[in-house]
Amino acid sequence: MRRPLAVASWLAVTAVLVTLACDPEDGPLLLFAEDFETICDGAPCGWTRTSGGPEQATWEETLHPGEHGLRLTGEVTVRGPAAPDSARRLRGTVVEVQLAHRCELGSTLSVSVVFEDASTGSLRDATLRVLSEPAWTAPAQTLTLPDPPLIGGRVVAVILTKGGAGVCEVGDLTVNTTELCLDGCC
Amino acid sequence: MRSLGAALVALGLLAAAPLRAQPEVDGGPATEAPTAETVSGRGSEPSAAGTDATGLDPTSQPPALQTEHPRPTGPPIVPPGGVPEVGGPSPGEREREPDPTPSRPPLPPTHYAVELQVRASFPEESSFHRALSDLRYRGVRVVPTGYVGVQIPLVEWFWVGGRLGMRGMTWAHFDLEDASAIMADALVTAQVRVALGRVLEIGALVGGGAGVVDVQVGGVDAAQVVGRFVAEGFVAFRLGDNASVGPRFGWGYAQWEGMNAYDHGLDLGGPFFGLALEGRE
Repeated sequence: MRRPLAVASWLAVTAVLVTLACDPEDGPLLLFAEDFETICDGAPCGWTRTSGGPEQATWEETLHPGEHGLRLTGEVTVRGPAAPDSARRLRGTVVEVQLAHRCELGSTLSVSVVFEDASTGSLRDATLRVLSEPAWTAPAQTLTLPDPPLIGGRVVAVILTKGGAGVCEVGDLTVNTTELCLDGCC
Repeated sequence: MRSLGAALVALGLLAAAPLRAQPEVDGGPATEAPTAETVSGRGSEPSAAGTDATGLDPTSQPPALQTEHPRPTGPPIVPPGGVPEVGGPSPGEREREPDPTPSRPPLPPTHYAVELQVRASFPEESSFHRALSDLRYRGVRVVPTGYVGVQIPLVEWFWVGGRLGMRGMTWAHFDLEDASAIMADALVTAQVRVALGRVLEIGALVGGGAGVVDVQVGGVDAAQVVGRFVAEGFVAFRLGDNASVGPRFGWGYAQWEGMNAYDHGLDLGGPFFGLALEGRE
């Protein structure tokens, strides 16, 4: 009778330690992350405008003087940088995109993620329309790349396409793998 | 069988014999009244312990049976060497003796009390907290709080005073500097308290005042003065004449509303539970 109790106790302690030791939302699952706080020449490093005027894509304060993001007005497209070489690589075709943002009514926002297959060097991309609302929100949405599955795919670009007449503000963007981890941290 | 019955009867008689022979010593039934020798022996021949075989004090009131033998009107019969002192005090002396279970002295009055309090508040998820979570800041909605205060009783059950306190919470970020919210506040308080015996006190307190909230994100501060309110219940266990300790529980208002262009609010109050230590003078 005591042995099952002891085993159960050890399992419970182990589960607690694993839970405390791992943060499944940050770190191991991240393929790409942008917080728009690192600035190069007045704009977030690596971000360029590919369509629209300069006043349509600006870097501004958001919910606190120490917190910033992109302000996209009207129809405009901006392109973000590649993930660093040290970033986690994708195995498979499914990723999860989470965009912290708000959009005025009548605006639309889409996110495209471009992957480079490490084995072939070919590029693969997919696009999703973000679920927007006037208040700040960060829905996690699934994005599926076309087959075949990637083996070591790296994010080489992220593209935000703003449509409609209103304003969208973007404060944070992450691309995560949904792959099950075997190291006990997922 | 007959011989067994006779043996049992004989045993019964033997067992009963000492009982019948034993004299009555406790002023028992009148039908077993003691002899005159027994009565006079009580008064004139105290034992070495100062009491007779009954255990009664020779100078105490005689038992009712002695009414059949009036007390001598002359001087009391005193054995050679006088009445041993171990026999106990005289009735007059006994009246002057202090009560063997004296009432404890009343607790000294409290002129003022200094309180130290630590507690944890559990605010509801505010819109600013939610927005920070969207931006990958991770925070636990528990607000540790510390207070130091002075309370002065106007009457035994009604005290007024003030408090100074600090509280705060933090949000960790995987890439960026952690965010934090810290509030310093000052409160004017009024409380009623009732002592339930010498150890236990219960009471309730209300307080109002103002605080300064400083929210730091990305190393940049933003501050605001906000209103404060608290309603609190407490139990205090006295640790002596000058100290008490006990739990505190209640609800506090500590919110910064409209803190940015999106009308976000931050709550650092809510229900709380803590422990307070009071020193009294």
